[in-house]
Formats: sequence, C-alpha cells, structure tokens
Amino acid sequence: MRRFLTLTVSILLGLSAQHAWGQGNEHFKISEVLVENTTGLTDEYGDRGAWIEITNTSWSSINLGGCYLTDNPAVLDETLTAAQRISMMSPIAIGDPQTKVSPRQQIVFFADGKTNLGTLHLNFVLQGGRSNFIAFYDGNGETLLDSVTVPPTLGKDQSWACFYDESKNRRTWKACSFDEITPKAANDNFHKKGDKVGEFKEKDPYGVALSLMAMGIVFGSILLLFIVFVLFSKISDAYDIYRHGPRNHAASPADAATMAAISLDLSENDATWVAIGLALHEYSSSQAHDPESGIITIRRQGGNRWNDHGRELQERTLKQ
Amino acid sequence: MDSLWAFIGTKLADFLTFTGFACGYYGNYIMILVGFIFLRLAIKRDFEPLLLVPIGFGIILGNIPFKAIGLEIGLYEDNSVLNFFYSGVVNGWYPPLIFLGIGALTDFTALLSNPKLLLVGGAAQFGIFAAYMLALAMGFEPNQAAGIAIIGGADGPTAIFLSSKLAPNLMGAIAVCAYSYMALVPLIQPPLMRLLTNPKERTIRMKPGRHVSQTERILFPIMGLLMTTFLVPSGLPLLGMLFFGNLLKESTKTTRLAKTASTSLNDIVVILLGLTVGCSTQASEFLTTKTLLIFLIGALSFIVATASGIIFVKLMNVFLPEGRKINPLIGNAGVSAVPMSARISNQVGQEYDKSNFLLMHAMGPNVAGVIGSALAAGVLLGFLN
Repeated sequence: MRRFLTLTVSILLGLSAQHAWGQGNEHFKISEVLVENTTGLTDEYGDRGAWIEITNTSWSSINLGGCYLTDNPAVLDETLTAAQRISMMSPIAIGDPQTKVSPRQQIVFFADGKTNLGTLHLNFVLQGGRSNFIAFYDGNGETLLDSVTVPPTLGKDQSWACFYDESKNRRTWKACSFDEITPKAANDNFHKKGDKVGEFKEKDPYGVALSLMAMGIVFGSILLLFIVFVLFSKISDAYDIYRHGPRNHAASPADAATMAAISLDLSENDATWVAIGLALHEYSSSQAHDPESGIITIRRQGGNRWNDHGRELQERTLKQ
Repeated sequence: MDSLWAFIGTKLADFLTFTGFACGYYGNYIMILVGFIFLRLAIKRDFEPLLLVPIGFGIILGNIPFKAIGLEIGLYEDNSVLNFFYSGVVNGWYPPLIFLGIGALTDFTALLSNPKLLLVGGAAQFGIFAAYMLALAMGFEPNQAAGIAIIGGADGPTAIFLSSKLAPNLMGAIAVCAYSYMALVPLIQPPLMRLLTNPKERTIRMKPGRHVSQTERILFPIMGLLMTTFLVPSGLPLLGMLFFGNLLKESTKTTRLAKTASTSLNDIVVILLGLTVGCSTQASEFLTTKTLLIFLIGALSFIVATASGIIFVKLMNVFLPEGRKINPLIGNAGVSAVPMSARISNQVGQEYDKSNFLLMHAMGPNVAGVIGSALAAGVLLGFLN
C-alpha cells in the first residue's frame, strides 16, 4: 500500500511539474500570414499592414489573452528563462473580449508595431523581401504553441497559408494568391483531418482505444478518491476514538432522517411512513427523543400538519 | 366600398397565411402529441414531473408553427426571448448551475461512510463507452458519438453540457433522450436487477456505514475537487460547481447560499433549461432517423450502465468477506439519476425483504455516479474537443 501511495504521489507531482497550459490554448494554430499587404485587409483605422491569422481548432470558445506572439527566433533558445523570453515577445492583452475566439473561428493580429492602436496590434513589424519567423507562445512564456517561417519569395498581397495535406497526412503551408487569401475565414482543408475528431475517426474507428483510455481515466480518478477517503476515514476514526472513546456504529439520526425523508416519495399514501419520517426529523433536529442511543420515540404532538396521522398512532418505540 | 371589402379580404387572407394551421406540417402535430405524452407521464404517472412538465410543455411550444419573417419569436431566431433563454443551453451555462444545486442538495455521507461504493459509481460509467462504440458502429462521427454516449450516464445536465460542446446539432435529441430515460428508470432498471441477481443476493443485509465527522464532510468537496480536476481539468465546470455547492452545504456557515443554490436558483435553471430543451425539438430538426438511433443507443447504454453496476458489485462480493458483502441491488444506482435509481434499489430490495432498507447504501453509488459521469464527460471533452 505504501509503495502504491508513493508511486501515486510521485506520478502526481511529476505531472504537476510539467509546463502549465493555459486552458485550451493548445487548440490555437497559426493558420495564415500576409507580409506585404497593399490592397487587402484593413485595420479599424483603415490602414493596411502585415497580418497574422490564428485559428481556434476546438469546438469551444477560447480567449487567447495572455499569450505571446513574436518574430524573434532567439526565443527558441531553451536556456532562456520564461521572463527573458517574455521580454522579447509581444503580449496579447488579457481581459479583452476581442481576443475570445469562437469554435473553429479565426482572429487576425496586425504586425505593424502600433500597439497603441489596440489589442489586435503587435509590437513588431513583418517585412517583405526576407524570411519572417513567427512564434506563438502560451501565457507561461515557455510552451511553444505554434511557429512558422514565411519564405522571402512571397510576393505582394500573397499569403502563406496552412492547410492539411492528406497525401502527406500532416499540416503543410503554401503561398496563396490575392484571390485565395482568407483573412478571418477558414483556409480550404484547414480542419479536414488535422483535428482530434478526424484523428480518432481515422486511428480508432471502432472506439476501442478511446473507451479503454477514458474508462481507465474515470476509474483511476475514482480509485484515487477511494484510496484518499479510505485513508482519511481511518485517520478520522483513530482521531475520534482518541478524542471521544469508542463510538456506537449505528446509523446516525441524520442518516436515518434522510432515508425516511427520501422514502416518503415511495410511500406517500402510507401514514405510518409519514409519521416515522416526521419523528426521525424531529429526533435529529429538535431533540424530541429519548436519550438512549439508537432509540427514538414517536410522540403525539400538537401544532403540526401531520397531527391527524399522529393521533392515529400509539406512542411506540422503534429499535434500530 | 368594394375596395374596402377587397382590402379586408386581402388582409384576412394574408393573416391566415400567418396562422399555425397554414404554416404547420404533420411533423409539428406529431411533436405536439409527444409533448402531451410527456405531460401525461409527468402529471398522471408522476414520472419526474419537475423535468418532464417543462420539457413536455417546451416541446409543444417549440412546435407551434409560424411564418419565419423576422418577427424574432422562434427559439432559433436571433434576439428572440426564447433564443436568449436558449443561450444558456448552447453556451453551457445551465448544466454547471444545475450541478451547483445538486451539490448543495446532496448528502455525500453515505458515500463517505463506505468509500468502496465509489467504485460502483465508476463501474457503471461503462455504459457510456459501450454506447460510444455502438454509436460509431452506427455511423456517427466520434464527437457526435461521444455526445450520444453520455446518455448512458443518466445525467441530463451532463448530457446537455457535453453535447453542446461536441455535437450542438444533436443536442435537442440527446437532451430529451437523456431526460426521458432518467424518468423511465422505474421501468427500465427493476427487470434488469431481477435478471442479474439471485434471491440470496437480493436479501443481503448491509451493515450501517461508519459515522462520518463534520471535518470529513467539509474536506470531501475540497479533496474531491482537487483529486478529480487535477486529473481531468476538462470536467472543471461540472465538478467545480458540484463540489462548490456541496461545500456551501457542509460548511454549515453558508446555509443561506446552499439553500438558494438548491432551491430557488436550481428551480429557475430547471425551468429555463427544461423549457428551452423542449423547445429545441422542433419537428424539422427532431423527427429524423438520427433521433431514433439516438433513442436506441441511449436505451442500450442505459441498460449496459445498469448491468455494469450490478455485475461489478457481484464481482466485488467475490473478494469481500462474509458479513461485509454488498447487496447487488444497489449496483443499478451507479448511474447518476439521483435519487431515482437509489429509490429503485430500495424498492426492489423490499420486495424480497421488507425490513431490508437499502436506500442509504444505494445513495453511495448514486452520488458516485454523478461524479463518475461528470468525469467521463470531461474525459470525452478533453479527447475530442
């Protein structure tokens, strides 16, 4: 048992030592980038600038506030601390409803260096004629969510767009002409197989793997709770005996009252059950009982709505 | 004068095209009939009236035909009042609030006094995954199959929560199916319980549970939250609210909040949830082959869940010493239809031994089933979202 507990605690601590994820941020993917924007999408002030589109690939709305975008490849240096890396990146403001992305929808950020214009503007500028590296980091400043390098060969008003290549069975990128660019809209074939549902459909068509994994996790969690509460109950009992001496293990009056109260739904026409339920309730709440353990008394009482039933019953003692 | 009569005639004819009689089709009438059946089951037969009355009336309300000309009156029309109420379903606000109420209502003492009953609640979740495989075999997509499968957990709010995330277009059918089977627990479970147990097993008497201290009752929601949500964070909305509600109850310092969560707030949410879920069953969306398949899979998953709980108890009894054996009739309560399935355990148990009260024992796996189905929903959401 001790070994098992040690193992369990070690696994939990090990898991907790892993990098923390923002909830659901792993579902964000960079889906399209346009560097030289001369005739396309404008910002809220009517200006054109380079833009980066990010897609929420999940079926839930997620806010990417608190994440970071950067064009500085130096952030990939693993020796950097989170604080050092964060200082090189453009933060996405927390708490702005604009950064909440609906299921399977897109958000566009302008890489124009004009952060004073709002949340959707980044502190770096993408420039044509050279390759542009873009990295997207989670709020912890350590977890790289996605990255892409846009080639220098991309022309004016051409975008670098991501789609799912079925023949290669992976995400891939291609240059899109002005007619094909889709800011704030899904790229063709972007979601086709590159999502979890598609993956499960392909790899686990009969659902056996998911069922085994999910049942294992559910049962494992419940087993963990069971172990914790068995241990806790033993400690609690030991402490109880230490404080108050051995206890009578009969069901507590509160348990009995709950049982009777729920039973009323079964026996609503049975006056006896009603009276017993009422007596048990009074036993646990108003101390109208004999002082002996495990014994209750049903007394004739005035002033309550069960009085008529009460009169029909003789005083009697129920022994559990 | 003629032109006036002509004008009146034209307007009246125009008005007639707006009436339900002109806009309806046979599907609306079938669904209105279904609504009446729900109301009859609830009012005359006392099958879960708190759920089936709002749902039944919602079915009728949602199937009143009208001409969609932008009057903003239908459930699916933006800015309509019903659409506003329905957003709580679509965005998944209602299920966690219901869980808050369940937490504030539920006494986990039965579970804490005999923690091994937790395992029964876990085993009964097998029905969910059996249904998942079955739904895949019937041609549903994995996300849709997961939404349908959760019906096996016999937990309406969880079914709504998961289907709103994974299969929004099937949510109406899944929700109505889940609540229907919850209401039909007294019909579905007893034959299975008799089939899977022998007379000797049915009369097993279980010892009363140990005394549970106040400290344990307070620590349970906190520990339960940490243990379950660290492993399955995707279950956070449901499990978080369930344990929060229970802490409000058990802390004894927030009785007012617990009372509000378990009474007024819960009632308000049940009204809005039931009514809008009922409304979402518009004939054009609901009367499809898929709905029939969902009901079929739901029934099978419910049967498998019940059987899994009972068989698991029998399996546990192989290893438990004499005198500590568990009555397998409480295995059915592993599904999370609280407290209906626990009542059924007690009822069937008393058919064979009138002085054998299984209710409190059955409440253990029953509340464990609530935790189990919320965990299963979280796991499915994590894998497929």
